[in-house]
Amino acid sequence: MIRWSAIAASLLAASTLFVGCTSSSAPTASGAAPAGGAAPAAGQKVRIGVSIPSATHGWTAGVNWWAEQTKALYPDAEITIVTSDSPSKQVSDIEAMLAKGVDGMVILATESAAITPVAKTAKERGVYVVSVDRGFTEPVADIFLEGDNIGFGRVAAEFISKKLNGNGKVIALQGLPSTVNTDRLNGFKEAIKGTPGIQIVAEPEGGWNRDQAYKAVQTLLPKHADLAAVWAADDDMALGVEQALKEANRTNVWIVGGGGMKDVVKKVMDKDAMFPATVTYSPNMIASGIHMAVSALRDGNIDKKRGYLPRHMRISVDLVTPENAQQFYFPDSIY
Amino acid sequence: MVEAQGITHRFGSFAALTSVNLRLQVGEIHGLIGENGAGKSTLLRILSGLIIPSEGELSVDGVARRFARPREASDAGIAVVHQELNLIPDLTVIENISLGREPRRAGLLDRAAMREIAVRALERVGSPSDPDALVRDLPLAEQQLVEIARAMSQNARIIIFDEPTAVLPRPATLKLLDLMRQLKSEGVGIAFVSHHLDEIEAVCDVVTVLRDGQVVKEFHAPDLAPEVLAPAMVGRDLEDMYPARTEVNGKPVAMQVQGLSAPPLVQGAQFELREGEILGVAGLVGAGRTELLEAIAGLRPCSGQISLKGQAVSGNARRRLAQGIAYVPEDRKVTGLHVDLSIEENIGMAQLPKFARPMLNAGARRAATEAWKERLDIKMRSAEDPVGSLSGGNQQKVALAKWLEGDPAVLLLDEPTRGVDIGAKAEIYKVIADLAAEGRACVVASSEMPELIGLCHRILVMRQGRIVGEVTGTEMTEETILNYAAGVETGEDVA
Amino acid sequence: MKFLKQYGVIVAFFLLFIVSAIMDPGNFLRPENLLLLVRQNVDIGLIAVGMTIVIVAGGIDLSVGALMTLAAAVGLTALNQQGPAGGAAAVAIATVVTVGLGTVLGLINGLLVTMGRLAPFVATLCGLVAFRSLALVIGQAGEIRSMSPDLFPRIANEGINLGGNLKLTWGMMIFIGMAVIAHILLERTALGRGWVAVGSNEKASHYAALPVAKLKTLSYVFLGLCSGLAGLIYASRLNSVSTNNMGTLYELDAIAAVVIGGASLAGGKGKVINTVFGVLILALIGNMLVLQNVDSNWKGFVKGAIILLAVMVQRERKAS
Repeated sequence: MIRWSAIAASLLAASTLFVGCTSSSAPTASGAAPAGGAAPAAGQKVRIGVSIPSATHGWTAGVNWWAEQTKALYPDAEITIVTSDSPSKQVSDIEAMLAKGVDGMVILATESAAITPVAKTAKERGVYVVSVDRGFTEPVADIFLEGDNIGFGRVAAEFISKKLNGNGKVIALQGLPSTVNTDRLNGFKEAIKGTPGIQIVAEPEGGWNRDQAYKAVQTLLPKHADLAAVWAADDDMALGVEQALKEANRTNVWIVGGGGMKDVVKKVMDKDAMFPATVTYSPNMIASGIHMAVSALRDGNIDKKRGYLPRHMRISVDLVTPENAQQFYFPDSIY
Repeated sequence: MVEAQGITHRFGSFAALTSVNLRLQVGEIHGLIGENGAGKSTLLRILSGLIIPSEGELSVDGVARRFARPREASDAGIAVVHQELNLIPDLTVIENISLGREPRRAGLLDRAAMREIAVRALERVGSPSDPDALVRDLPLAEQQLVEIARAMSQNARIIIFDEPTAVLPRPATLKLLDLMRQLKSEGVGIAFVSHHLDEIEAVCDVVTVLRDGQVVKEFHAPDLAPEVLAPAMVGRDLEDMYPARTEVNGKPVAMQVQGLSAPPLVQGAQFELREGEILGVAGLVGAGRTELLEAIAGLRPCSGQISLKGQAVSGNARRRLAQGIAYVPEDRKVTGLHVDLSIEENIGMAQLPKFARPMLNAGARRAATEAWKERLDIKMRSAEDPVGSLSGGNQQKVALAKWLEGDPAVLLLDEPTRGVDIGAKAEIYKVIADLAAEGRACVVASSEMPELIGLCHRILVMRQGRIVGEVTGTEMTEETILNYAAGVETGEDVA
Repeated sequence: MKFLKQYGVIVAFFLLFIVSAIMDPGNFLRPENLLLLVRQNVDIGLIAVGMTIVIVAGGIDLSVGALMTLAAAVGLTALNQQGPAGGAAAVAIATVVTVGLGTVLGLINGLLVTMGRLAPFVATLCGLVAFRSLALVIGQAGEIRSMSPDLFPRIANEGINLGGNLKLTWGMMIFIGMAVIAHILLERTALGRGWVAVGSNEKASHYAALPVAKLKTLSYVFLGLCSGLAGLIYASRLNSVSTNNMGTLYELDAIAAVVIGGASLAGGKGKVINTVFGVLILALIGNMLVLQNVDSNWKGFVKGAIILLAVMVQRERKAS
């Protein structure tokens, strides 16, 4: 498993390398473009389509923000960002972008299976495909930057077990029913199983949002007077939990959320007793995907570059503690 | 032949029908009359399979039958032409005629066969309609013919007509009666329900009179004169239907209408109305009677002058109501009343500010309701019952009370006795005469000429939006009115 | 029998209440849990009360969830413009802006329906998407945080202490107050009777010289006011507005509460008190599902089944 920071570093290095390399051999690069050529002709702007879910909660809002930030980073590339609120909408949005003509697509799929066929079509048309977070059900992507939802739950569970010394009651607060939610919850529960002294007393639904999380935990608190900790399947919900605990004067209960929301990372950094740690699952993974697509396509010579780029990377889930929080803190991000 | 024997039907503890016997023969027109609530519609619903009677038997051609669904009755050869037509407005004539029995070929609709069935049935009933027209676009009378054609296409041997003429203009009524005679001669049996005793007399061979859920008498042609049938219906001798007219000559003018136009159906209407006068408005359907009254009441945009006791009247309906012009619409169910709401709610409806300023004074409204109940003899159990649970005549009285509550100087009454049985009619005439005697001026628009002739001091006749004639005194005959209404041609008599 | 027909929902609520009490007396019957039933549902409750009026007057409003979000987003932006030291004045400005904007948006809905002659479903469907979109623009699809860390949250979270840690919050009082006002308006004033009349039969109301368009518009204005208050309380509860998910599907929960309360979607029939109990039934179901730790995938099924049951129990049996 590659650490995220390492990826970023290597990527930056790789992209500067490509820039230097192609600028000196531009004529051959355009001549060597493959038949179904994804690479644009030399001198043309590289056209990248970015297809991501609409901002329906904090994390996806973060994805949107990071995508826009990355776009601003590459004024020489023509980057189109389209957000879709459902798998079927995403399919038609990608089809529309293909019809308009793109050299590369960066896709954060709303649902893996539903988006696979259209990704395959893109691939067959010679479009360079980067898949972020959720994979496709067939290996159609040129690069797959995988998010690790099982790890999201596991890393948090390991921390909780350790901090509780193997004993205590916890609430596992889940999001809306979905593949992501199931992976995170199962990852958490599987890892907790290893510590029999830890008891999951409830698995309420917090709907990925602060209000529902707040209400659900508010309802459960009187029932569980000896609660030790709450795990929340994302940071939006973690903030709702915090409010419910504070209002009920139960600040001895602590929370582990996840997702890399700046406020939560800040709380960890500031040694807030209610937030001893969190885990990363940063929406900036979309930025990584766009970087990779741009650097792969820029100035042609794609066939050679394939050999320099990985096919599959899993973005590690890191445990954020007061000691290392600084490196995960992005104060300008909206998430 | 369809025979019903010993039919009793109860709704809860209330017996709508008690031991009713009825025999409908093919080749015969059988009149079915009775006041509202006498049990006619329950009997029809039993015959058409809409409800299963509590007791009693139905037989078709001597074989006992039990209709659990309307479909079973129509399969047995009994078809119903409902007063509220059962057609789908957005389907074509062809589609309506075959509805539910569409011929199919290879699982798909056989359009050619459907057309053939429709064209043949339309021809049989003499319908002029385009088979491809949407039913929505047809005039009411033609829609009715489509419904009859549908019955014919199902090879109905008995057709039940439930008040078919209530909604028809006069010429269409005459045509329909002719069609019924023709169907009879083709061997179809007909049950005919109507409030119009002249129509019953004109076509029926046998008449069964229902009262309070029981058959009170059966009459046979030619002994079917209205004077004979009516007392049997109401169960008592009718006093004189129409109350005596008061003298209005020399009374001050209550309302003056000048050059009133609401195109296209009201053009240049001009007349005066005296206090205590009952003014009739006659005319064929589409002549503009309703539109004239609505224009006066401020319910449709119009030009011209109206003055009430010398004061000019203008503004929207609310302002005119406040100034003393009240319009009681013809269609109680749709425009006249809130049928789902309570009686007292309805009576307060046109005068909400009076009963609620700003808090509703339920006591005052209840008192007003009770007062009107006394005054108009409204038969009701409780002021909280929905107005729709009352009989037609009592609903009409509630509608009158609703607009009288504002103490109007001029009362515009549109078809005040439509769908009201004969006993209640007489009562309503009396109420109108009493209101006039108090000094209120009344305008009565009606399609029933005997009613206008019996009730009014004076009758205006409208044709194509214009007032084309005015008749008074001995001039007030059906013939004169029809002459004006139809142009120059002479009106024909029913028989 | 007549009582059951008119107030069946109240009976249904108490049946559910007893069942819940038997199932989990230790937790369900705690006074703080019972207070939570109301406190957590103040926003839905306010909207449902207003929705009762609109539905009785023969309309429907799908835009409420988005409307409250937009109103609150603008309100919070106004609060923040006063700076961190805005104090009571800033909170007052936020309150006026949120509630006022809610009312104005309600007026727009009403005018689209009456003067624009649009079907209520269509007009407010446009609001549902458009208001949300405007809120996303204002909040950059993210969260707007209030700069009043202490004062603004008091609206939803502080109130009269009832002893122990029991509190009757200002939010709860606003809800109860608006329910009482709506009840009186509907049952006891010319305005309310007019709403019933228009919903029951618009044509007959026109003929009875009622100001039909004005009545219909006012019903949406009232709902806009309720939704603005709901937005204010929501924003105050979390001291922030999450423009992307605040109030999503609130319109359906509110309509569900009204329907459980026995109102007819065809208009002309409905009581505010019954809607309040409809809200409480939904609240109670939600509370029990959480307390009983029901698998979250099954929650919708249980909710749907209970709504169905509540509606069927109240259905009028046809007499003839």
